[in-house]
Amino acid sequence: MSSSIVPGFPVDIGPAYEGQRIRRPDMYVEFGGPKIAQKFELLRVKKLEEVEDEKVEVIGPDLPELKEGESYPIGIVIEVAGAKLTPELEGVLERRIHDFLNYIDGVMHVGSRADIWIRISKKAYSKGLNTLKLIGLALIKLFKKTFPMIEKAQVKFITDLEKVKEYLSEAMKVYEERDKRALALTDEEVDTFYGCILCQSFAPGHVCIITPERPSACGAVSWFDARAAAMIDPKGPIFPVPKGKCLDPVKGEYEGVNEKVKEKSLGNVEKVYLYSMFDYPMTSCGCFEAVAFYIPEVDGIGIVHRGFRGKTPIGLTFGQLAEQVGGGRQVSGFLGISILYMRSRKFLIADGGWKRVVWLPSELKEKLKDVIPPDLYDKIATEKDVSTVEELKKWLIEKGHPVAEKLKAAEAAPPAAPPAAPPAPAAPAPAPAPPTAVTVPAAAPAAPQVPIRIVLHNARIYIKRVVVVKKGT
Amino acid sequence: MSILIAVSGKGGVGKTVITALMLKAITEEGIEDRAILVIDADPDANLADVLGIPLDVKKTLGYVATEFKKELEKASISEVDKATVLQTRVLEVVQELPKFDFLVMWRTEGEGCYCFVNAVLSNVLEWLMDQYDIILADCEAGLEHFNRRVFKAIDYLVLVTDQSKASFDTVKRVLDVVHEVGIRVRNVGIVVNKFREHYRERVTKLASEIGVEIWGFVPYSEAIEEFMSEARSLMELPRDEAAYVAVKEVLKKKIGIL
Ligand SMILES: Nc1ncnc2c1ncn2[C@@H]1O[C@H](COP(=O)(O)OP(=O)(O)O)[C@@H](O)[C@H]1O
Ligand code: SF4
Ligand SMILES: [Mg+2]
Repeated sequence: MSSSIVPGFPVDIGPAYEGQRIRRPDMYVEFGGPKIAQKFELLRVKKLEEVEDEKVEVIGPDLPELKEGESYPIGIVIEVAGAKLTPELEGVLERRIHDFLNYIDGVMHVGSRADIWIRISKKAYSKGLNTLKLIGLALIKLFKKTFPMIEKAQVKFITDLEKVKEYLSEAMKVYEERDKRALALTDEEVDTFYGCILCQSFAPGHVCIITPERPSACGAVSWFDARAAAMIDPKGPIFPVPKGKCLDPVKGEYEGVNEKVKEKSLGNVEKVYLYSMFDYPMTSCGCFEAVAFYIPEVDGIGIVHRGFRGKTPIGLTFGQLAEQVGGGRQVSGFLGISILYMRSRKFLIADGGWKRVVWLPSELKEKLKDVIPPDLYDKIATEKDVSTVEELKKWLIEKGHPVAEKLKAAEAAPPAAPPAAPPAPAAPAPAPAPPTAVTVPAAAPAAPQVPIRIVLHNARIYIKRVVVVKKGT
Repeated sequence: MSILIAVSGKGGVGKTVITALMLKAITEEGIEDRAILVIDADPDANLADVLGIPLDVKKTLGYVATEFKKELEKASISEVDKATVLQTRVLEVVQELPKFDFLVMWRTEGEGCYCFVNAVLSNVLEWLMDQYDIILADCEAGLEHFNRRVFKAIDYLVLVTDQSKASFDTVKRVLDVVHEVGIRVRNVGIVVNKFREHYRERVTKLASEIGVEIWGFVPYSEAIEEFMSEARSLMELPRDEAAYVAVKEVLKKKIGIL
């Protein structure tokens, strides 16, 4: 791409100029940035008849009327139209303003939405880039060229302070609307998930799979964050994961995910269930904000977050649990998660979701008050209610927690077989060894003659748990 | 191509003083119109004081990272990616002063995962550093975790010592760390600070034992002591002060940027 995109344009245009930062001594003026509160950029999808193609308006003073070296408010409103354009694309297209402005030699753009910072260099200004109209025209041409589905585009630059304020409050509403939509995005609606291996530096074999409804364990990387990172550097530590065939919609098993996890964990992990903490949960690195742990005695799930200093009913602190599951291992019955994931509709849905949660630190419970189903809220115990598994069991039965049904039944008929799905972990080992998977040809118990595989975890010291899985599942 | 000069050494030997004197020389007697970035990468962060720049903790990278982490705890989703937001924050804390830009790393507070935050920060810094002709960094001896990712290649590693054996032991440790974590160092030299003539033999021997060339001897200076105790900017130190002249010589003869 060269300046030929806009015939006669005074400076070059192209990706080569993208990395330029214009330093204060070299700038003609700046818009937005830390000194200016009123600033924003907004892209809207409009109807074809609402857009006048290649129209650029400047509302307020234009470049020559500004004082060199000073900072000014700015609003950029880009309106695009095209038969194939939908409002869902607004956000993605809006992010490209950043790239396209930076393509212009002598223009620097940083940020997004109501937090932008633009500088125009003295050199570009003196070469003839002396009106925002030219910059607007370049933007329009770049948008249309990159996205042929954009049939028409018009741009408004607002530099009049009062007008910027007016438009800004409108823009804020749009941003809010979009974030609501982002929160509502489901895994079914997208065809690409993302993976992150940033934590492999200390947790070899660890791969986070990030989906709209399954944010990363650290809570820092949402599907949107991952998408942006992968777009800039698809070969980097955050990469796209084509979903592939859905093998199990409840557990959240996808062909594409299994493949990528296997590849990126260097064969350490064969498959993962996105929405379950049993059998094949995601690996846990150490960065997680909370740990979900299975409590076999009550067949329920406890969750403890990093900030909680006390002991969980199973006698371990967050730190001890973290040590137990961290390091990039896949440990059935234990899972490092983010607070954000606990707010997801897909929160451990394969395991019963909130219905299965029996214990939370009070601080975390309070924080999640708005997502915990109201009929369960008072039935989930905290450190203030119970401190041992025995007490927890009593509490759950007393309060009529959903898991209590089974507990009562089990008490009535004690030697009944434990539930098949979740394996029953014994007391955690104080010094966990790396998982050692051993396949033992086992003599099946008297009943059905099915070939089984027994996986022994942490077998260096003693057998911590035995997972019995039907072969071929 | 930017030139990265990193100053390191044991605490108290005078890293910050040497950094400040180098900056004075580069800005006052160097080639004009060079883009200069000064980084205070020591968690002790007193370069600002020594340069007479008011230190605003809010204008530090550590503050940005810590605040950002706090925001993450609100656990919300935005359609705008966090890296963009964080990049903007970083660029906002680069102080643009008349003769140079100034960035204070400071430190991060709070536990939890900084992997993503640090990855974004080091990417931004890498890009940012690329925009300058000269980068001058006041580093602590250990080159803590984050700095190791940012300073992946050092053009001139200036190791400051005094006459003590301990300060030379630190030099050795810094070199070990640098080697261990795979930082590429193109040139390395020792600057003996607070120097008095009768130390010469002793420090020459200590340096040769660890096999690092001595680039300069910066004499003990009462003026520096006085400036420091009065909290006056070292940028105002008279140009004929022997310590300053010695630092200038290092820049001229060993680093070649004057
Ligand atoms: N050449 C010198 N002459 C006299 N005093 C010095 C000299 N260099 C440093 N000092 C003193 O040593 C102290 C420590 O210096 P500083 O640069 O802060 O050390 P560092 O950054 O290595 O911890 C300062 O208080 C300063 O007054
Ligand atoms: S925990 Fe966060 S930083 Fe670590 S691999 Fe997962 S997404 Fe990446
Ligand atoms: Mg110092």
